[in-house]
Amino acid sequence: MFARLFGFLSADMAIDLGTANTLVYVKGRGIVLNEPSVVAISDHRGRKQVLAVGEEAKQMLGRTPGNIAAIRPLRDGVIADFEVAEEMIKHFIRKVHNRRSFTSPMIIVCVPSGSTAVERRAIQESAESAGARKVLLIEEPMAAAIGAGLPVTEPSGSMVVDIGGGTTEVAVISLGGIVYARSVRVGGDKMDEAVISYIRRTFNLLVGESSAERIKMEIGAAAPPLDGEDGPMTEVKGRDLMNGVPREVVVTQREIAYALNEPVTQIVDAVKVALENTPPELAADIVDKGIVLTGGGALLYRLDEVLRDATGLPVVVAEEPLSCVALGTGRALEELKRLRQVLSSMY
Amino acid sequence: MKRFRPSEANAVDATRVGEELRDARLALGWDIQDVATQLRIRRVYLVALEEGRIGDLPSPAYAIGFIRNYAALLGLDSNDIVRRFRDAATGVVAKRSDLVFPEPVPERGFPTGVVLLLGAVIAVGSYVAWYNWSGSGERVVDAVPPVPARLDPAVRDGEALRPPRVAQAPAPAPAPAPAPSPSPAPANPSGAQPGPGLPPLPVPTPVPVQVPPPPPAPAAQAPATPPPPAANAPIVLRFRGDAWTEVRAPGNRVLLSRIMRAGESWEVPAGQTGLTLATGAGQNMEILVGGQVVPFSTDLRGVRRNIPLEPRALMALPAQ
Repeated sequence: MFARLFGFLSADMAIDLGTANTLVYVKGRGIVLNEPSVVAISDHRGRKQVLAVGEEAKQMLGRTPGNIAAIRPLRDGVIADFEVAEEMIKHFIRKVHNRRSFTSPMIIVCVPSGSTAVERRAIQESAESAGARKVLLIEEPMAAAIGAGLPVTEPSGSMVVDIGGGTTEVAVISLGGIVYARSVRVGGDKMDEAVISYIRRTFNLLVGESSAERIKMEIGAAAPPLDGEDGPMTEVKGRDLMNGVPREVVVTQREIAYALNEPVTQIVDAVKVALENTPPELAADIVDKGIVLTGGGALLYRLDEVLRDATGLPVVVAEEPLSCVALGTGRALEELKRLRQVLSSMY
Repeated sequence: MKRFRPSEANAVDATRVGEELRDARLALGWDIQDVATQLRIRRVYLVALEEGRIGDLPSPAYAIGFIRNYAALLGLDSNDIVRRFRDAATGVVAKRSDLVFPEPVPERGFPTGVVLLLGAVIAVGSYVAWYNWSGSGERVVDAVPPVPARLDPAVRDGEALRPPRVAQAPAPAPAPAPAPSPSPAPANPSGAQPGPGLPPLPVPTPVPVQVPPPPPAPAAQAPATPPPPAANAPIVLRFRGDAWTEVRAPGNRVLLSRIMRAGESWEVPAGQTGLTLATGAGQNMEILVGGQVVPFSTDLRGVRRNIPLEPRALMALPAQ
């Protein structure tokens, strides 16, 4: 009874605490916040203060003076810096929580399926420290499948591949539960690193993470253009490693596709391993319906084609892949009673 | 991406979208099997898409993905096609995206609350019943029923026999052991009623000599020693309670062998001699010769064998 009363008085929320972006879904209002998971901390005479969170902090990434640190508190899908993550969640809660609310909100947070109990506990505790009344956890692939609108409760196998910033989750879901899940620590970040590494190797040019991410989003592709051309191109600025002066080079889609070959291969391998471990009846369902891609990585140009050719299965990209996990987590919040069995708690 | 607008829901239907896809495919000169091979989508689903049969598609999420891939392959504006398809399939999408998790089948039977309530009612009812029946104040000792009417003759017979015995054995016997129901009145100085049919005798017991003969009955009936019965007087076995009884003729021929019930009686066939009686509960039996109770049989106890069923022999047997 008290839970219902508190729920009425507070704005319960679902948080997709991603490595790259954090999305907040507020009950009854939908997704109200989508910001990068970056926190800028200033060190003023030994006292640390939060300077900026989200988009503003991301602008500072790689451009900070000595007393300011722009930190991404999540790495590989899990919390790397507990205190900063707590500050970030606190900031987001404050930003979206209704000021008129009397009680602190209940929060559902998604966790990677491959995360350890310690990592899950860290996420739950940081959300509780940030002022949550109660914290429930949901596994990311399940949230992604629910958000993508897959028939997860039917006795039929569905395969979802959620390519996030830090991890790629591959899961086979049937009857409301995860039959097989595989989580590899490859995602958007690894792709950015691959781009940085390629440009440094090829052009002797050091570029920052933000630049690499921009290149990936602009002309990134999972496979080179078919017609033998170089495809679209873009210029990238950085520091020349030979003489130390800033320089600008032009990179093509073919080059970036080549650079991204390694992380893409790892993702394809993870999908193949998951298919190998799928029970035959569910594999038959997956042959019939195919694989659904969610997450920001699903937007990589021609990734679906690469996966289709590698697996021989139909591959479709979910509607709104970037917000699938948040939408699924939000649906678990809205239909808490019905979807209770996909939620868990570390206590 | 464009958002769903309900006002457009009925403006288009899935068949129109399917026709558009088919026309585009035919314009490119492709067979549907070519598309199926390229997209790895099953041919039946592509045919269902082109014919607008939304119900035959696996699930809205997949169907929309298939349409997007198909439109992109044909070089159409996939976002526009998908939006129109979704508008057409709104009802189906909404209906099929309900998540119903499998739940364990509830166990049959009454709900726990009803069972508990019934249990409580039964417990209270049992207690009330027990309280009413056991706590009525009537003690078990008082509840001994009066001597049944059918035993009245035995009572009288007992009275008839008692005075001579008292006279023969004038030793002071202020409180003999409690006798069975036909115990004579003089033996009970406390004044407890031996039976409803007998008036209490105002006989003081301390001096046996002063015991007067019972007023009318003994005087009218018989002297102190009854006359010996005739040799051919009928012998009757009468039973106060259940008793196994066996009567054998000479040569071990069995005339009677069964459990005689209370109230039953068995008359020895006339003309039979040399019969012997065995019984398993002598206290429940008495032997009458010519209508008179044999003194020997009044205080029989337990298992007795080889009792001769001859009138004279019976009368000659000493009382127990």
